[in-house]
Amino acid sequence: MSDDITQLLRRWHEGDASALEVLLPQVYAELRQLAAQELRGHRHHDTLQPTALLNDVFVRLLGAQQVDIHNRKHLFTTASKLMRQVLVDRARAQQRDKRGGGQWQQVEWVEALHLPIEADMDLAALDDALKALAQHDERMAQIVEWRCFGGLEVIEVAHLLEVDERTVYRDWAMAKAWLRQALGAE
Amino acid sequence: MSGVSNNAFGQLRVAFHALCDLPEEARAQAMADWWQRDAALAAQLQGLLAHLDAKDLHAPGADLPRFGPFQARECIGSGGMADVFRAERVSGDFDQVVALKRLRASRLDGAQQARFAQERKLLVRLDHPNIARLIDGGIGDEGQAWLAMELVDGASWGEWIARTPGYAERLAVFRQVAEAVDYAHRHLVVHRDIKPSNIRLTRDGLPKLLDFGIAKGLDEDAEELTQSGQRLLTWRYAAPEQILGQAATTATDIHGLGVLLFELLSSESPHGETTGAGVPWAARILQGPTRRLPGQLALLNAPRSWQRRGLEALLARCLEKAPERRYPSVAALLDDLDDLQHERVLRSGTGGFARQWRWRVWRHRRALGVATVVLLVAVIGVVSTLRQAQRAEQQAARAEARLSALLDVIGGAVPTEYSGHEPRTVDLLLAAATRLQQRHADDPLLLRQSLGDIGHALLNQGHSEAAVPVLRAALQAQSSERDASPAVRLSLLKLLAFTLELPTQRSALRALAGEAQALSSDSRVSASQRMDVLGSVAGALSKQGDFDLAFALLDQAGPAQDAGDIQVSARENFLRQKGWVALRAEQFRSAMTAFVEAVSVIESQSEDFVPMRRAEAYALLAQAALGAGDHAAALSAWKQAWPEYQRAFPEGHVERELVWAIGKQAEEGTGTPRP
Repeated sequence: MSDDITQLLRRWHEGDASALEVLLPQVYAELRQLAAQELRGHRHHDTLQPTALLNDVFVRLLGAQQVDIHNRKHLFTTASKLMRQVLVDRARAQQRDKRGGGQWQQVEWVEALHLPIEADMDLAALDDALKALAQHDERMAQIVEWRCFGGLEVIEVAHLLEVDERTVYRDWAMAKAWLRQALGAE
Repeated sequence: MSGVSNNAFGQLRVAFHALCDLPEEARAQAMADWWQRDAALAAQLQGLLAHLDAKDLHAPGADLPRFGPFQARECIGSGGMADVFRAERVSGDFDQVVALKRLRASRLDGAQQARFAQERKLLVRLDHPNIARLIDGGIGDEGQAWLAMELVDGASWGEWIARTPGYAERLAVFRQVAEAVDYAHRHLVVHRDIKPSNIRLTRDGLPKLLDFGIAKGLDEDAEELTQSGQRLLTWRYAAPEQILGQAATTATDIHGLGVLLFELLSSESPHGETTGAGVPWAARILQGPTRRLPGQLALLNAPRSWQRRGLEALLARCLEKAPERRYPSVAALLDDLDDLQHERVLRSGTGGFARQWRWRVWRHRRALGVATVVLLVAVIGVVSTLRQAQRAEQQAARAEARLSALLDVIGGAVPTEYSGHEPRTVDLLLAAATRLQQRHADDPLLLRQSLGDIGHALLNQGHSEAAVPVLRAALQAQSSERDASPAVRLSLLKLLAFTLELPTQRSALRALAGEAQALSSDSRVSASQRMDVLGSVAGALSKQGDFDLAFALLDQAGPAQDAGDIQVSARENFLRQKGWVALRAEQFRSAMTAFVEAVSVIESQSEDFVPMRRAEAYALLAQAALGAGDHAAALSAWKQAWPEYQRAFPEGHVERELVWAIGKQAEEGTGTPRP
């Protein structure tokens, strides 16, 4: 099974969009199960580490020995993209079909994963705005993706980008201001 | 928004970042300037500022709290367990800026608070120029612990490395860090988390170690929770015992210093990925091989040759997986570091004596003025005894003093003193012996060890006659040692026995045998040594034709053979000597039996013996078999011996010719042509 997933990840990484289609349900199921477990198991939500959660998902899916993702940057980029896809696709599906939304509890999810997104944020709109931001400054959009969907702390982003923490804070603040402005303008 | 080109966006970003730095009033002023200079950009900046959430500029939860007399001003860092603020003293008569650390752990209970207070007391006593001072600490209103520490606002470790390319400069700063750790250890504080992010440098370039283990273990729950994620980020610097969840000790800090130094020199981790197989840090640190320094170090005046090897040995010792195999203390590491900086031999003995000797000889190669190769041969003779003495640290230090004394003499040898000829090894060694006796007459231990070494070297060089007075002097010194050990005396007697070869020395050898017999029954002598020494003395007696006493000694040693913990080398030597005695007494069958046993000891543990030792055993067996008339056994043993003799000795060498002759006889006896 993990061989399949490794294959799929590789194919997706090489540009085969259909691979992600197959992959997502598995990642999603795994993430949901883990999030539920975490919520049941620990009362201190504030100590829940989303990074840990994503790590766990990938280690579990790929098998620690077979992780073909050769560095953390790649791992978190992949994980964040996956999470973004999961969340945004679900949000879009909910907008299309209100009945399908019964299974999709965005608020619960965002809180469970401890992501720095307002719980009722319009994720589809955010996704579009983020794409627009990436047109201007790819790294800034990447920071948002890591922070919002990968759950990385600023210090971790700073490590990955090998820049000063202060720089990340400013980019993060600017990106959020820019996104708020863009979302408010719609 | 979409109309903004990327170049313009870049400008916007730079301007926004600059504004973020400014306090309220200055920011308004800067905005006014922008409106004058570039209205379009100013409009965009204004739009962003209108949507800015100031909290996004700092770590979450940074509502800039007050702790005791300190008011937090700015969040300057966030880690897994704590947030760090730049804070100012707001009560009291003096200004003070501190780094204030607030532990994120949930409320501390009574016992934890007591422990926190106790650790604080311990830490506040740490007063060292390379340790960020603990200024104050307490428990906040919400039960959260906080610490105020000296603020070190020069450069981070990484920033300092980036602008410091020189090897010597980097080593000097590392040394100061190690001194700080040593100081802490002497005050019973273990750091437990030595890594780049816990070191900063002042504006004057003084390194300061931050974050002593005060917070560790206060909140075990939090630690557990973050294991899968948070710990991944920090395992890079963990010692094996920490990964295994064992207690951190001073040895843990020594490992940490090793990793720090390795990274400082190579910019790579000693536990770095080598296989590309994605092995996790923890597994690599626990089981993986520790890497060696890369061949090319991106440093100015990077160490070379001997010095580099010394450095590698030092690192390897720090990074041993078993804590007890690392340096016994940071002080010992500092000693070696000092030696490294001054291009001296590592005084801890790290890296092995043979290497150190070569290093010494290399450094003194000009002063020596003698054929280094010849000297090395003598030196290697000394090394074999030194290795045995190397077991304990104390002994190693002693050995170092001996080496120095010896080297003074050897280094001081000037050709003119020897009538313009290069001094022969034997002259050098004898001169060393004489000078040692003059200079260190008051130190019987040093004298005994050095003279023993020199006697051994002379013996190995084939100068048995010259060795006799030296070994006698060593024995003399030994008898005046305070805790004269029978084991030490026995090893000297064994050496002396080998030198007493002349017919005139027969009675001296018999006296020696008597003393050895008496000493052997001492309970402090191990079964291995008893066997080894009695066997050797018996061998020497048989050379003198003194067979009765030789057999008596063998009989006395014989029972020890059954003891379980006999060293393999002792057992082999005993069997060889036993064989020799029988061979010389022309009891060929018994000789064969002994040599067959000796051969089987060697074959069962061949890694403990050099090839020549094995070849010699087979040659002896062949010789005994010839005597017994068993030509087939002789030929088959000879075939095992011959290739090594062929390899080790040139054609015409007497040893080679002797063994060749044995083969020829065996062949003629069996009528089989040799290969």
